[in-house]
Amino acid sequence: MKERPALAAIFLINLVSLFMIFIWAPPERSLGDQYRVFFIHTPSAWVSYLAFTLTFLFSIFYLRTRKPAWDLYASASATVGLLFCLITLITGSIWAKLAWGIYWNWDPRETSTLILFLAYLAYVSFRMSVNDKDRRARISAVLGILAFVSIPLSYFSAAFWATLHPMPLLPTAKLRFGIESSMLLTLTASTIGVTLLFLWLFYLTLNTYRMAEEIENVVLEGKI
Amino acid sequence: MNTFELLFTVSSIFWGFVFLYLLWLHSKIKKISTALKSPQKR
Repeated sequence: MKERPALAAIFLINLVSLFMIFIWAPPERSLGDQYRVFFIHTPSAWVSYLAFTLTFLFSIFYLRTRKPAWDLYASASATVGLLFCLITLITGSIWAKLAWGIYWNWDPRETSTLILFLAYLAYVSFRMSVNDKDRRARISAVLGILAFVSIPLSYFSAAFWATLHPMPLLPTAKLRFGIESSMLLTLTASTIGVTLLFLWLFYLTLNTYRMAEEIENVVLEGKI
Repeated sequence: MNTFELLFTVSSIFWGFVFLYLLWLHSKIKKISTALKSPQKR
């Protein structure tokens, strides 16, 4: 991977999306300009779902093949996902204050996203607390699969229970999302920007974990 | 809090957490390089 051009592209896309969020997108009818928090909150939520889904898949691959590389992939993805889930919770509570007048009211969507965050926090904490590599990989793969249950729980919570949170943005039969095209374009740009940022952070985390693992192997073999 | 302040706060939270995450990764890499250098000191 050529790092500098990739990093410059990620920086540029995020700069353009910030311009679209702050200036280009039109104000919304009921919330005015304050709804623009949505363009940071929603892509962060999407990326955390993506990261945790990848953790789920990599955990399955690990249990099937027992190749340590899959374990590292799952771990790196969960760690970066946790970062974006925390951002989702914080920006979501700011938006809740604007829309509902309270930062946290134990709404089903808020509560299920908090459960999602805690499930993967437990996953990452477990990995940090166990030294035995095989045991850590095996148990965390199972945890990565079990924790995945909290993703549909969080995503569909707005449909299952009475909630103040808006329903997930899904296209209608005519492929219309129910928001203005300029807003949809801004959302698309910010989602692409945040997804690329996730991929870069995932790449950095994976390399760091890989280096740490190699050092651990060398230490175990008694070369240091 | 006006709209600009709000958006500035939310963007700062987003990029601030990304920056903190990068700092955490950097500290991990520093630990690794210290582990690599330690036998040379001995």
